[in-house]
Amino acid sequence: MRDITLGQFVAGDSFIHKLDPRTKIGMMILYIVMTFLVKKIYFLAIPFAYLVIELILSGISLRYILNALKPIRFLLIFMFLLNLLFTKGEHVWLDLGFWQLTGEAVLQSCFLAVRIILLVAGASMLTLTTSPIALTDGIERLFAPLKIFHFPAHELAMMMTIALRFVPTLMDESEKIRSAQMSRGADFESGNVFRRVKSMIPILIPLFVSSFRKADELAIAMESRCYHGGEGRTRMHQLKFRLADLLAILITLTFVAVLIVLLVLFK
Amino acid sequence: MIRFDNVTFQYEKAFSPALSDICLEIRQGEFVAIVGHNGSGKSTLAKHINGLLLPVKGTVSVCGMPTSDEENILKIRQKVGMAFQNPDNQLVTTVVEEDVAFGPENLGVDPDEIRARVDEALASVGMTDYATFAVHHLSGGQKQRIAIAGILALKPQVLVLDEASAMLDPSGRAELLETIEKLHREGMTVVMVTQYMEETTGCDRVIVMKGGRIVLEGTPAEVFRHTDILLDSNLVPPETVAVRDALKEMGYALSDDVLTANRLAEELCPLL
Repeated sequence: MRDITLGQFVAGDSFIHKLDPRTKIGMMILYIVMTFLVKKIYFLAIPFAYLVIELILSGISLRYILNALKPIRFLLIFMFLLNLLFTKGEHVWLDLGFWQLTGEAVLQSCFLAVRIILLVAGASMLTLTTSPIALTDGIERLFAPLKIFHFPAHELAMMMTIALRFVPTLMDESEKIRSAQMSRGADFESGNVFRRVKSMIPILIPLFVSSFRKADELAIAMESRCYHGGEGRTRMHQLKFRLADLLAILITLTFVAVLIVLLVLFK
Repeated sequence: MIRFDNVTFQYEKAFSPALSDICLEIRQGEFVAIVGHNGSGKSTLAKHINGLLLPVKGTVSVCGMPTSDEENILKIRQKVGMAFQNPDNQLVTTVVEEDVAFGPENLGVDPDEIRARVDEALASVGMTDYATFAVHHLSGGQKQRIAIAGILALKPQVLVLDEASAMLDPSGRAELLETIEKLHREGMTVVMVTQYMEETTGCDRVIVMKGGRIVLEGTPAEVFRHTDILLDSNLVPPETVAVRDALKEMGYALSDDVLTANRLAEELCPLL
């Protein structure tokens, strides 16, 4: 339990890994824009090509991407069937009287499924190549200009940092509470779903109480170390926007441009 | 350096004051231990030193700056570093060196200077090799040393330890005490709040608290002469002192500054 990895970050030394987190967030946003611009399945080849290049450059094994897709497999099947059932079209492939399988339905179902796969795979490329800390840092810097609209960029990043820091601590704690409750005769393993969910209450309540105590103590410790919000704060690790970052952004923008040109041409 | 003038403090909704009329002065370079049973007010006293709690009556001042003045509070907290009981609940970030950097980052120190301070702080608690480790992989004693490194990075003049050893195992406790004693030798003023009397034998001064008052104060040798007051305050003198007292009662001539096992052995050998 102690060695659980946070997020799904795979440490590495590749071109993609070394990019500034802000660059990678930007790249992901542009990539998402690309997949949403596309309305026809064959144009998805462009974001797909982009993803493949990123995957090769990052040296991340395809296994991790497939792992990231695993949790959405039922959603995918469900969406696919739903579209197959309810999309109307002209090219009838199979007529069962009450329902027709049309070419349009097959195309539409495949399109949506591929789009979701590309979206999830692209987003997981970000979390696979960026450590949670770098990601938090990137988010803070990226949102910093929004401070003039009173957007709490620093607070958000600090919350994420603390949440990440306490995940393993709380996991340990819940394991301890579980053992303590089991030694008092609590039963977590039998009964139906409702009974099992209900049996989590004796774990959750002590966990909540202790979280509040932890929060209180942490706040005192932070205050003692001169924490007074984000104002006037500096950081030890400075984020640096290097030539590689510029290159990555330019390549991504090229892909977007090519896609837009293609979309306009083949309207 | 630190002055308490007639300090009284009462928690909200409490029936009796947690501190009553405390007068105390801690000088630069001193190693002071504050001991007391649960509820004696020792932690409350410690939290007054860096302005986490403000006195209801009286004043606490650090280097002449009263803690009650809002403007001084950052300066005071930079001068007075404080470590707490639970090693898990005082580390802010996942990576060791980032946590050590947290304090100076808050003060807006220049990034290169922060790097230098972090390296220096980690070296002085002997944790340089762990700079890039995740904090949840460390032992309790190591976590406490990181917490102290995080304080050292603020370049404080006083180190206050609020029962920092209470949740550690014996080896972690020894590790921590060794670190603190080293820092003290290098000139740090140390205020250590503890329930463990055997940790106080190396101190310059021991302050015994009971019911929010100081009941006994002096060098360890002086304090451990008053076993009756200690027991009355629900404190257990170190075993060595108990053995010494028992031997004295049996008629052996041992001096009062026998506080450690080594010293006891030294004095006993000639008598054999």
